Formats: sequence, structure tokens, C-alpha cells
Amino acid sequence: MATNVAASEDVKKSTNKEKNTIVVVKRILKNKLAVIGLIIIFILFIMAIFAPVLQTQDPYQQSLTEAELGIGEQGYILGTDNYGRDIWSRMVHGARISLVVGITSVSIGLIGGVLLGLLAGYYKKLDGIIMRVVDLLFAFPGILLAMLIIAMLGTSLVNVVIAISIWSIPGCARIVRGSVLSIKKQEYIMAMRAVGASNIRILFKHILPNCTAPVIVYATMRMATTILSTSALSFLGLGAQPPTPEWGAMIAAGQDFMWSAPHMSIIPGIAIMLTVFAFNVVGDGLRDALDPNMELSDN
Amino acid sequence: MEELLKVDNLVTQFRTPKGKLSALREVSFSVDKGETLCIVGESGSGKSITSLSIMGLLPSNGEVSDGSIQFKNTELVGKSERELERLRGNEMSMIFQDPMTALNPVFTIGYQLCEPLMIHKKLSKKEAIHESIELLTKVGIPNPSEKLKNYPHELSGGMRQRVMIAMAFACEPSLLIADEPTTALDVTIQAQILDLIYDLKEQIGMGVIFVTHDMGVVAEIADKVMVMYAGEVVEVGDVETLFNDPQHPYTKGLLAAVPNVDDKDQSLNTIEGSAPSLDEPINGCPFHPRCPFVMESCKVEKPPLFKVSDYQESKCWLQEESANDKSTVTS
Repeated sequence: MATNVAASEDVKKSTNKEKNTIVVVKRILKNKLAVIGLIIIFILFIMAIFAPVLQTQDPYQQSLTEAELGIGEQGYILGTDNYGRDIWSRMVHGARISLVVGITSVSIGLIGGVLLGLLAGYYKKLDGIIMRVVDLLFAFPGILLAMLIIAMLGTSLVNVVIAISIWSIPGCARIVRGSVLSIKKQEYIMAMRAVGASNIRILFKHILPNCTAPVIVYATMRMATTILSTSALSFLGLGAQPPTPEWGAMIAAGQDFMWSAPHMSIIPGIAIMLTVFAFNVVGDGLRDALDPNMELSDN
Repeated sequence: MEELLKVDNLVTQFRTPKGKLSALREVSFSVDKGETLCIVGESGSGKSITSLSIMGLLPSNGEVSDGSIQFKNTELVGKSERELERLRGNEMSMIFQDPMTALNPVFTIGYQLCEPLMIHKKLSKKEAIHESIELLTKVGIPNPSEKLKNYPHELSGGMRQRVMIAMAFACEPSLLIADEPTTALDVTIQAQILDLIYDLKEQIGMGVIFVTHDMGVVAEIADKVMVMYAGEVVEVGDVETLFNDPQHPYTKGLLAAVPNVDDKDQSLNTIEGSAPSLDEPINGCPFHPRCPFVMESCKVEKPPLFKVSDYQESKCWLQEESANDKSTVTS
């Protein structure tokens, strides 16, 4: 890139890997929506990590004399719910649950999906079997599949994680398989075989790193879906059980008090919306930033 | 000289929806230690398939269905994938046509150059990097320790081909297969790369199979030339005899098609027609539809490989008379 000439001295010192990361980061920062998304996600993580510090009181502590207080009343930042529990403290702990469930189920789903996708893409014999199973999973509407799995395993947050991970596998497997199919035909893979690298070595050391970009984008987008689904399942009473401060469960609890205390449902609703928005927007930004074709419009 | 590779009656077939098609028909040749064999021929004549068959890198629908490939007196046909992996990159290695696509774009040169060293010599990452620097110096890349950290797209085509050569030479193989290694490079770089391959070959004393369709390159580097047409060997001979006295009409056509720069009025010679596709049934000599000297016998029966002299063999009925008194080598 021409702009590098001026800063060539500095650039030469930094390794190329750093240079690439810098380019990607720069591109994301140019995307204003993605920056907003990143800020929201950052706040979420702060909330989740420092939940015990940020809480103003125990999220489970009830005080029926202070029930259904509005926003800001009697020193409660976001008011209280029908049992007089502090909504702000519950929101903070809810962020923790959402992120933990989101990250674990997406990672489990990714590991499964990437493995299946790699095998299906590389070994022609396995392709048929694996992809038919994946098609079978695709045939169910996602939330229905999750409900089915929870119906079999029982309602709990752990089972939500399991259900959503399984639901994340097919999409990821498809994406990875597609990348592997195109990458394995490249001459550099043939060159690696000519050097004597084994199939396993080629698959994991040379093909897998080539498919990271789409997987990263998928994972980010998937976080949004996962958090939304966790809340949806909890709202339906299939996920987190009361009194767990899960956002979806909080909406469900608040729906009986829609007229007297609307903030009970609206606040977690807004939180879910912002979170999903943030992850989607960042996913979009990442997709654009990681796309090598964008290089032309970069200068 | 010691025989390094002996290919005998090699038949390579591809499974296609139209049935099994033979890409190579009874190809036989040998390469001695320290010898350079050039395989020439039109596109689709089976040059690359020959080299891939030797390396055991045929696409999944291809297989060696008959014949033998003996490398250092061990049979390669029927060897397990694991055993072949041990040979590839170690005992025999390959340079590919297009250095632009033969390096993985997401890894640094160093990462890829370390691979053969770590696989075959079982070196640690640190030792491998140390060795890689030496290799890059050997192939004439300036500032090698810096270049190791470069990605392929940061290097020019010639530099990349040098890296490929360094990779191929990493374990000092005894056989190098170069599949049109200079086709994608411009002429000055081409000469440098040819020199480099020649020098390294002399250092290690290995056998080279050089696939090309550039007759100029052949004249420069070959010891022995093998002309292929439609999956068959039509003529073999050492460079000088073959260039001075080509016997097969196809070889003559190929040599005539090389443009003469000094002759301004020359119109380019071509061989009329095109090579038969794999699924076309061939009666008699595969070249007879395009041959200017075609005879009745050519259309009926396939000619055997006639011995023209001690240095030359040709698969053409024209040789029958001259070879009548000599013994024929059956194909």
C-alpha cells in the first residue's frame, strides 16, 4: 500500500502479522456502526465481569415494602420489581448469564461445526454422511430444535447451552466445509503434499487457518442469535428458572405487571435489543474488514 | 551411471462418468543419478500426469492401473500413503508451475519453509528457522532472516519461485520433478531460475525431471529428452541427436514450430489439427490424423518403439525400414 511508504521505518520494525491486524482494526474503526456496537459490547463485558462490584444490592434480596418502584425512585437506579428486588443489580447479573451462555454455547457449537466441516470438506467419503446429518438439523426451525432438546433433557440453563450449541453446529459446518472445498483445490495444498505433509497436518495446520475469517464472522453473528434464543427460551420458561436474574425470564416475570410497572419488562427488553444489535453490527463490520477485496477502497 | 528412477509400462487412468480414460498409455523411461530428463509435448499430452503419478499425487479419481515405478530399486506403485509421505519432500520433491499459487497466502515464507524440515528432519521450530535462513541464502534471496517474516504476496514471482525451490531442496532429495517451473516467469528471471536449479543439482548430484513445452529451455538444460503425445512416449533421445536429427514427425513439427528470431519473413509453423481428447478412441498411431507422412499402416496398427541409434528411439512406422536390420524394441 502506498501509504506505507511514509511510515516505512516504523512498519519495517513491526512484524507483518501485527501489520495485518492493524489494517483490520483500522477498517473496523472506520465503520461507525461497528464502533457503537463495540462500545456496547465493551460495556456489557464490564457489567458482566464486575457484576458483584456494580450491583447496588443482592439481586435476590426481596423487600415487599419497596415493590414496583419506578426508575430512580428511592435511590433505585432502575427501580424495583414486584418483589422489590433491585432491577439494576439483576440486569448486571443478567448480562453475566447472557454472555456466559452465549460464549460457551457458541464455542462448543464452533468446535463441533469446525471439526465436522473440516472432515466433510476434506474427505469425500465422509462428506455425504456428515452433510446429510447437518441437513437433518437444518430441517428443524432452530428454536424448535432447542425446545425439543430441552424437552428431552429438562429445563435448566445448562441444557439451554447444550441445546443452543447443537443448534449452532450445522451453520458453522456448512461455512467451513465450503471454505475447505475451495482451499483444498489450491496449488499450495498440493505443494504441501509434495513436501510430504500428512493429511491431518495439512487439514489442521494449512487449511484450518485459511477458514478463520468466515468462522470469526459467523461466531460474532451467532452470539447475537444465541443471546436472543437464551432469552426467548427463558421467557417461555424453558431456560433459566426464577428467581435467576436472566433477561428473558425478567421480561416474562414483568408481563403480568405491564400496566402498573412497565419498566420491569421494558428494561431487560431494551438490553436484549441493544446486545443483539451490537453483536450483529460488529459481525457486519468484521465481515467487511476481513474481506480481502476491500483492500482497493482502503487507500 | 546409476539408475535412479525406472518407469515401466506405466498406465494411469481416470474414472469419469464416461468410464475409465487412460491419460498415460504404457509410458516407459528412466532417469539416472545426476541426469536431467526433459519431458516435452503439447498441453494434455500427459507430461504433468507423469510427474504426479511418480509423486503419488494424482487427483482422487486417478490411479496408476498398470506398470511399475521403481525409485532407487523400490517399487512405488501400491505403496501406502504413509510410506509415500516419507519419500515426498525427503527423497523426491517437486516444484510447481505457478509460484503465485503454490504458496499459502495466509502464512509467512518461514512458516512454510520450515514444514519439510520439521516433518522429515524432525527439527524443532528454532532449528528449522535457522536452517531455513541457510536455504534462502543458498537460493540467492537477499536478507533471508527478514524475508522469512514476509508473506507470499510481498514477494515477486521470481523470489517466490526461489522459495519454492528452497522448499524442494530442503531435505536434499535425490529426485527433483519440476513441472514447468519457469513458465509463469519472465525471461530474465527464467534464466536465473534455470541456473539456480542447475547449480543445486550439481551440488547434490540428483536426478531431475523437467516438464516443459519450451524448446529453448530444453536445449539449455536437458541431458535426455522425452517427447510425449496423447499419453504416449513418441520419441526419446539425448538432446543433441534429438534436436539435430528428430525422427518422429511430431518431434519435427514441435521443433519447426519454434520461431526463428533472425528470420523476418518467417511465418510461424504449426502442426495442423489438435491433440486427441482422452475419450476419443484411437486406432493405430495416435498422431496419424495430423501426420504429414501418414501411411496406410499408421491408421491400422500402433507402431512399436524403434531403436534409431544407441541414443534415440522413435515410435513411428517410418523407422521400420531403417530399423529392419536392427532389432526392434517392443513397446
